[in-house]
Amino acid sequence: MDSGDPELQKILEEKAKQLLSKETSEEEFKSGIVNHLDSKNFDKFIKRFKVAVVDFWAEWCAPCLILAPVIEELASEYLNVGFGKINSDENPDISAAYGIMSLPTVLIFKNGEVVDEVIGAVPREEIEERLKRWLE
Amino acid sequence: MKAVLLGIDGLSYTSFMKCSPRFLFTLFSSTFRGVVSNKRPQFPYSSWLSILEMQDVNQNGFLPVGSVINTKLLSETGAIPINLPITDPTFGKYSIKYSSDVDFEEEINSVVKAILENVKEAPVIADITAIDRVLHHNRDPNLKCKIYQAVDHAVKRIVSEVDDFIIFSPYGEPLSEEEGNHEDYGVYLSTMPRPKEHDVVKLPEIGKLFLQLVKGY
Repeated sequence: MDSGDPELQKILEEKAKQLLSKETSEEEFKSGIVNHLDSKNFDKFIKRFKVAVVDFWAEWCAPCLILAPVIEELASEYLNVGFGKINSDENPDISAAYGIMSLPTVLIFKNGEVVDEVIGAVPREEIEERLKRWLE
Repeated sequence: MKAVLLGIDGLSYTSFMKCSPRFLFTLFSSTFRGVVSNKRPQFPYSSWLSILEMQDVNQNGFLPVGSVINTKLLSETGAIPINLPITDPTFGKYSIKYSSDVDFEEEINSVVKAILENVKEAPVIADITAIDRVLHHNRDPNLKCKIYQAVDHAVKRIVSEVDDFIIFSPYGEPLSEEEGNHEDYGVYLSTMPRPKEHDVVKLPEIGKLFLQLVKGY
């Protein structure tokens, strides 16, 4: 859009950039899937959802691969919850910050704070039961 | 010493929870375990040749039938090959056409029989191709779990008759009809410990570990 006023034009362009950036940031994380997290987007993710579930995993960790489909299944059903996974080896700062000592570890966050922890390749029901408590 | 290197192409940890293969779960919690890493595209012939040559091999297509096959691992261990998908039909004492038409139970039962008949004489290197062959074209979860149960029983029969084993999949489950499109991670369960258990297992390493298992160094 050309307003004919260069100053107004600049303001409009800045505003458009801000709006675009906000949209991109909001679309960065999606419901229904397991979002791939790293040190850069982790904090934003846990604050983005009222309740969030994060799966700490590593490539060499066989129980992590056993658990992965359980997390994917829950993500596809609990659309009001944010689901993410973070590679513990590639993001040691995040693992250290949350005291992750064994893999897989699933942390449940509410309003950006850790409220529950599940360790190991557990059946779906175990994670689901814990999750439901924080959704009430 | 009765030793087996058993490949189960397409076997994946990601279906353990869904299909509950009881004996594989027992092995999972009682043997040395790991994750085989093999990034897409993955093909049975190049994956298996990387194991048999103990180095990465970029083979394009199955080897011609009738070609002289004497890979490093086969010659150094004197192992008997059974149903290896490096040629089509597969290579070794038991052999099938590499096609989804071949019944999975027939293949699994025949591979078990061939292993048990031969393992008293020499080490055996064998493969079960059923999961990979069938699931590329039919991803029905019930069928998948039926094959997992058949594989589970087969593994139980084999493990109870041998002293040492490496059971692995060179890649995970088929993700589509496209050949070469599988999950990047396979299974590794063994009586053989690995020096770096917090590393993924690479294909040539599987061959080297089996050589070490057979030769004892």
